[in-house]
Amino acid sequence: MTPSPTNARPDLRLVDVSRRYGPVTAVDRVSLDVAPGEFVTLLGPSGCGKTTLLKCIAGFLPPSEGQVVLRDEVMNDVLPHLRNIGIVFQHYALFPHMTVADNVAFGLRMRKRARTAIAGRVQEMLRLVRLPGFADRYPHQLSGGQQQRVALARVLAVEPVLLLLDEPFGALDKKLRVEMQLEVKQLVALLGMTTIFVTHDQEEAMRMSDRVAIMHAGRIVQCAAPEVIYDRPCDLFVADFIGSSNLLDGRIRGTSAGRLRVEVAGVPLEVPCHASVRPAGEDVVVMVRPENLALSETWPSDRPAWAGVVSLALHTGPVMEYEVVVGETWRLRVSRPRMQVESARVWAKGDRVAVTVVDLKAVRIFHGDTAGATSVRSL
Amino acid sequence: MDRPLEPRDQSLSTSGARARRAVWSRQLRLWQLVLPATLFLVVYFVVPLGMLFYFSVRAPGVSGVTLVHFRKLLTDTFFLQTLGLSVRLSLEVTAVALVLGFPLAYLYTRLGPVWRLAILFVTLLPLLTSAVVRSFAWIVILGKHGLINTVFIGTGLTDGPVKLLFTLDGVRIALAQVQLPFMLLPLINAMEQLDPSLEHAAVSLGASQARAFFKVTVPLSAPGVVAGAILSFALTISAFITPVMVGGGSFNVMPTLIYQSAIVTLDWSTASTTALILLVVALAVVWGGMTLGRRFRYGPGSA
Repeated sequence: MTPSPTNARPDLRLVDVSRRYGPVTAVDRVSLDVAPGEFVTLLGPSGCGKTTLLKCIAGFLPPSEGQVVLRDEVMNDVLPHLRNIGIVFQHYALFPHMTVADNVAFGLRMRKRARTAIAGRVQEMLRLVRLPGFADRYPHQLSGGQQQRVALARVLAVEPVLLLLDEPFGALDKKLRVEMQLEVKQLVALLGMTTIFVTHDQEEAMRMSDRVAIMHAGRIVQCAAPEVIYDRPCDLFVADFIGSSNLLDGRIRGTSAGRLRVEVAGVPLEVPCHASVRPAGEDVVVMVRPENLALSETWPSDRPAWAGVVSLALHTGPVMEYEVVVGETWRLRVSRPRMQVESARVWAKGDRVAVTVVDLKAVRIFHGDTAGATSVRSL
Repeated sequence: MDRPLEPRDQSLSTSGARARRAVWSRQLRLWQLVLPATLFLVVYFVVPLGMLFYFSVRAPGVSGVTLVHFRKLLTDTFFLQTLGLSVRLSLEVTAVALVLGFPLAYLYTRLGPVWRLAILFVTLLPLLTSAVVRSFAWIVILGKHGLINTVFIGTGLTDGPVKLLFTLDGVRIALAQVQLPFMLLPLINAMEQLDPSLEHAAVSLGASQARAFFKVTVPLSAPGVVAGAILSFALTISAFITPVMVGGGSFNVMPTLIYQSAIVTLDWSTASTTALILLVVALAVVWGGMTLGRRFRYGPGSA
């Protein structure tokens, strides 16, 4: 787990937070520091405990164990309405019987602010979310994106210590979702809001976050910057969950000068490796991203290659996705940009190709085999 | 195109005709389906209502339409007092059912399936017995040596027995119990449609649990309140057996007046006129309630 910047006091600190429902442990000893202004995403498949953890932070569920600390103050026994945590809900939860202005003013009224101050703040917030003329509308008269912006304005109006976003883009169509992601990201950055974002959409998580915490079975298995998560997943679960990857069974054949010799599908790969020496003959899983594989007609002289046949060629717009069958059982997924000069060749089903690894440094090796446990750590 | 068009045209026209026939036969079948209900309503509702109207505007020795019965009743102090009592009693019973039912419905939406079933069972059970049996039970409970007085005297809360049986208070209690399920079910229905995150949103914005309840849950339950209140009011103002048995004839309500006119004095014109006045007053109160309820609704133009 990457430590957060030490120079700043964390806005949120989770210390060994667990939440159990009877015999089921939904959140299992989660610790996390979130620095002021940081955007951290809880990412995981449904049922991984991310929503439960969010409820523990918000105060709707008491943690069974551990502490929720907000700006040096333990929050475990603080009622949710006194925590000053703003939440944007999945379906926005705008009050349908109130106008947009009344929705935005709600939190300020609960704080008993002066009437004129509230009116000014509401106008300011609606300008901020680019809905200045919508004060007297009702939520059902707004589009999904507009409702989302009102929900943001309502939460930001009270200047919360922490902003929680609970899958807020799930109800929007794809194009609008991407627009709103950018808008929210910019808005949150502009205000320097410390934000926890819950999603099961990894693209969304990668695009928006300073750090991504991958949750699995109630635990944070890896918490790091998006590119680190993608390039150096800490275990097979993360490797499999984030992006697409070829997870291939391999066998260690020996080491030499910081390089690990691994045999995959009959081809020896020399993978740079700084970790301890592994015994020869050990079974491992080798992860190669599809974009780290290249196809060529001619056999490369300088590097090992697999001989295969293209069994699938899919257009996805900017990228061609291929599946190449190697030998009897091996299927390699390869993706190549269509517009690059050196890979301008577009392959078709049935083409005979040589598959090579572009960058051996980006190959990851894990204990175990592809059928085995996902909790193994990387070398 | 070099192929002649006729065959295709033909097929188009036949399929069009088939479609038209299909629509027509579907309409026919729908119409046939509602026929029994329509006939039933005409025979047992529209015709009797017409007869009520007819009796109320006819008088012996007068040819054509007369308003003599309406004039007689609406200038009769006893009648007006009874009408007032009926309306007041029904509003009071509705209010009691609402005050009891609202927290119960709220509790219901927050409990697990076992407790939900328990609440439904206990509140709906009285509907499974007849009004007569239920009223006898209330006589046992409310009587001079009944359950309530035994407890009151036994705990020293009162010195002597409190008179509940054959009083308006006793009738209020008994009627409120019957109306509770009719209030509860629409309320539960309305509250279950509310997104639980609405209250969470209010709380996260700084509202205490209680304020979130009154600012969000209560106004958004208005459709259920209106539906439950209308049902409860309409059923109470037309209740006959409970006021007669638990009230013991110590006072009159509109249904007892109608009964006396129709069965005891055989004055069908007065009975019909009384019934029509009751109907109009009840409709007016219901309409007023709906208008009031609409002001709490989501906003202009919402369903």
